Amino acid sequence: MTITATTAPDRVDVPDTDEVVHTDRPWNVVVWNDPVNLMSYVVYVFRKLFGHSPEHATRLMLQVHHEGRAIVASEPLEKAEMDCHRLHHHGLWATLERT
Amino acid sequence: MRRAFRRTVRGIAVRLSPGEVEILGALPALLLAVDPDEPAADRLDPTVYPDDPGADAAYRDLTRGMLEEARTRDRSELAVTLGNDVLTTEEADAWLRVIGEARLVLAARLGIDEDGWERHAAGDEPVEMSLLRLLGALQEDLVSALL
Repeated sequence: MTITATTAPDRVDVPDTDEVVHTDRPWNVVVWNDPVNLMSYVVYVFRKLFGHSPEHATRLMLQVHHEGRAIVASEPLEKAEMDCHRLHHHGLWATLERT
Repeated sequence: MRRAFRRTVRGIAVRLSPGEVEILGALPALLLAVDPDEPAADRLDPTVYPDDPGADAAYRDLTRGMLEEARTRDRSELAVTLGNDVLTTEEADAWLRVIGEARLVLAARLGIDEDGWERHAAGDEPVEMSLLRLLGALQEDLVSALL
């Protein structure tokens, strides 16, 4: 996001595993830092899409900004995919990973 | 500084200069003309499962049409409401998304890939950079009117 210099990693590391895949396990919706979206806009989108309080939305935005990514939701796959779609519609960079 | 957007009891009041109206009015065409091969296209339709191409392809098949439809609706909303003095929250949200999408495209064309770019002000910056800044200021103003 704009203002401070941090670089987001360009990929998600999902550990390789031979475990049985539990499809009912929740999935993490991850939002990644980008240098273009405004901080205020990202807070607005988190509040609007997830109903977060201003404080929680701001904390998540700052986590994205400083750490390069933040988990904004952990939920069943179908809902996680829909949230990912809504984030993309709002121009945010979101991916999914297993919890 | 003049506020382009302000919350009122009737909705979001709009006060744009003729130049700003012209720039916003040109955004739908700018976005329609994005080539699938340019870097901006990847940013607008990002990979969802970076380590699972199969799942990613399935996700895209499912959502790409939805995403295009949603963006087309936003652009029409902007085009139809551009002359209005007052916007509803839903209309303002569509404006925010179109402006944001245009900023992503412009930034990708300028090769911006790191935070901090806006501090490097240059006198003879490319027109895309001026546009990126202006759209950023409008988006910031609109967000603060909505919050």
